Amino acid sequence: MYSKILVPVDLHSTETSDKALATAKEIAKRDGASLTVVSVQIPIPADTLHAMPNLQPRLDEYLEGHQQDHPVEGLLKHSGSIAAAIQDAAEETSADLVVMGTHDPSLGDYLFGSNAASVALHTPCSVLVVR
Amino acid sequence: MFKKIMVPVDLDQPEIAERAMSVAKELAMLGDAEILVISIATQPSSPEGVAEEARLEAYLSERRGALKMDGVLTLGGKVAKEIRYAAEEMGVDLIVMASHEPRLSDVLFGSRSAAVALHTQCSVLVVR
Repeated sequence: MYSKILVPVDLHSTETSDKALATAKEIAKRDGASLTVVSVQIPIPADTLHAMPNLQPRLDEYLEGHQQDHPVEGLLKHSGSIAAAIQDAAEETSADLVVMGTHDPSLGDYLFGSNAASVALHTPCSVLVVR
Repeated sequence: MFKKIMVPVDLDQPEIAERAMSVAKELAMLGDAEILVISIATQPSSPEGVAEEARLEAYLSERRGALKMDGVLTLGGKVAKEIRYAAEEMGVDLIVMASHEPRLSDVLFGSRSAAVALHTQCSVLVVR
């Protein structure tokens, strides 16, 4: 059914993506698909006093802890737009399915849309939003 | 995995949902789930409603195979809203839909932009 699955993970709060990753693993196991986790590093404005930590070690740590059941690769994208970075990653990895979690809607989502909704709308491959 | 999978189908153009249907079937087998086909015909129930029921039943028996598959007819109104209500009422945990289904487009991409996707309580798979 699918051969390359991409799972966006927010390393600052992984609980929304835990269910997405578990679902992606079930599909990947059945299909023998490759699984890539993508995280997005937001660039630091030059005048910021406290620099955002580099996410690469956190991503490595996350990957280390999530290899059970099915192997998972990692990809770190640098972008100011999370949704655009996920779309880029989907193209870069030739993903045919993106599986992503979403948080409970806040007021901002009603005004501007959520990352999940934006990805579902603009990514050229199939998108599974897990709730 | 998912236990109750809803697939919206326009019985006038069932080919649009064919790929969504085959993906739904695979996922149903994976999770031993039940498939619920929701007909999105906008005809109100009347003499036509009876014909719709027969058409839906024919659609189901063509595709059911060994799967648990049932059907629901929407009774006119706003298609997207009907689907969301039916999904909630019937405890659906996943809606599988084609991305280019024009009459369904407002489920995800309605007048208030993509934020409408947030209105479904369950998971959504957009098949491309």
